Amino acid sequence: MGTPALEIKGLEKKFRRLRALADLTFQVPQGVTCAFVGANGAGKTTTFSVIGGFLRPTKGEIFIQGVPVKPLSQAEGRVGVLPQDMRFFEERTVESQLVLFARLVGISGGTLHEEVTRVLSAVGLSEKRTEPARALSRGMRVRLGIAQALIGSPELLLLDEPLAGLDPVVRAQVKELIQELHGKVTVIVSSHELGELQTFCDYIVAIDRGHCLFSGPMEEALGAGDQFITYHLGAAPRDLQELEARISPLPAIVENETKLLVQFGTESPGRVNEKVLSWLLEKKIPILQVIHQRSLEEAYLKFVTK
Amino acid sequence: MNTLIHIWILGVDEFTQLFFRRRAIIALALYAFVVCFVVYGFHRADHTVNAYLTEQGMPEMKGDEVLKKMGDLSQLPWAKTILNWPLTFPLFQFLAIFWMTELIAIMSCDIVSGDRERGTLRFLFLRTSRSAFYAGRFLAHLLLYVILHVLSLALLTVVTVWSSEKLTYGDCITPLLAYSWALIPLIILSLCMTLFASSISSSIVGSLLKLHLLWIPVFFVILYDLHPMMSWRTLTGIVVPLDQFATANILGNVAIALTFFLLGFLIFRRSEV
Repeated sequence: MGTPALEIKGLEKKFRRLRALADLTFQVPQGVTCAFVGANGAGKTTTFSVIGGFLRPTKGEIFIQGVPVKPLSQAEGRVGVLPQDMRFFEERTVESQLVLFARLVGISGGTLHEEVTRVLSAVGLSEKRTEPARALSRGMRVRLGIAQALIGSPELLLLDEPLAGLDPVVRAQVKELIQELHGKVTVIVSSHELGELQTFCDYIVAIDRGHCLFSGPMEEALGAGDQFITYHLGAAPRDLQELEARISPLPAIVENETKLLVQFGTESPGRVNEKVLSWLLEKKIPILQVIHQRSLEEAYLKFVTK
Repeated sequence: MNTLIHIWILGVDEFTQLFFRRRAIIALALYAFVVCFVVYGFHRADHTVNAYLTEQGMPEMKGDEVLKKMGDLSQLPWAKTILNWPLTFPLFQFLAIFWMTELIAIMSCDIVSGDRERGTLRFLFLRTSRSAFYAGRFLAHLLLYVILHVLSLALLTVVTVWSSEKLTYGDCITPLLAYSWALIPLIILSLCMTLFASSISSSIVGSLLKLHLLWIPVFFVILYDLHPMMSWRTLTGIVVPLDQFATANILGNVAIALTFFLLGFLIFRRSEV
């Protein structure tokens, strides 16, 4: 493995008594599209803020392309960040904001407008270049956020919740946009939409309470260890201990009231499924759907339950 | 070199953007309206400073008597000139210095806190250092003060000279430069306040509060407390032009300005956003 695009070693961040990051260590290789997943409060945004130089780490080291990053120093155009709660200069036009950012990364003269045109075209906002930011919809703002992050061709792109609050059409467009960046730049995307991330990410870093639970290729995450069968039910299952006794030592997890996950590990999925189905029928719980497919969601739950 | 370029880009960009904000347009329009109103109403006024003060505060004394009572002042040629100035001049001084300062403060008080509240500070910090950002914003602040003050004071000088045959440009320019110099600590204090204000509204309130805390006592003394000796000394020290005023304040101003600037810089460069 060559020099990683991002390497984090023993990163710790405390906000008074709250420890947001605790000995966080992981690497992201060059050129991958990495899913950065974790529950609310797991430390995803804090990690991005420390990498971006907005927050000072309490301890630990960050390396971008093998070069250590000083606390609170500017990323010098090497890192593009789409913040979670991004807001722009509302009265300024899309073009004027991008021109300012481009000039700050040292682009000037004839290439200045070429660069702005390039990033606007990459995110499909060319026709909005003279519009003020306040006139943009949520989806367009995300695109503008990605455009500003792409200015100056950064080596690393951090996208914090780019899919949040988007309608299905815009979400698909933003997903497509991120997919287009694959291989051209290392992208780290944080999101709660694990199903979506699974479709376009080839690497995953899962964190919980400021610790890294897993970092590695997506196939490894999905294929590692135990696997799940997912049951979508018409009613909430009760007496789960009874089911667990029947399939022992395998655990059954209720993710929400009507979604049941059963880990089958090295057992035959068919045998486990048979036991679970018979129990559900006995309990007269309607079965809407049975899915025997590994998902990122299941993998993440597995990391957490471990 | 890179830092200097960043300072220039950020300073000039912010300076030009300040004029596109709604409150800046309203503030400048209001200022222009009041100036026109005062020019229209007072340009033919025959009242002198002496006549006004005699009517308002010291009916028992005439101009020369006041100067003699104040000792050395009666020997100074400029003191007699002041008494003979038309009332227009102090009125315009008030507008050009006090009010303009206030308008500029309203325009620029959120020069950093605005970015913090909007969230755009993060976009800028990805591409420039905190030091360059701080210095760039200071440059914008300074450019705004200097350019608007120069315009305002030029207007004041032209109107004053135009409305009184007794005054020359030379009479006006020196004191005005002294006043402008006196504003430097205010400019830097404004920048310091906007560095640490958490929102745009708190910046505006803080800025207005600061100006009033600093200026109101002065004008209170001038306008309402015209007790013979004290008020004349106050008047000669603050409203009436004095070369000495500028000289005496140079070192103090430099010290205060440097202290505020360094304090702001040292705290800001370590701050999280």
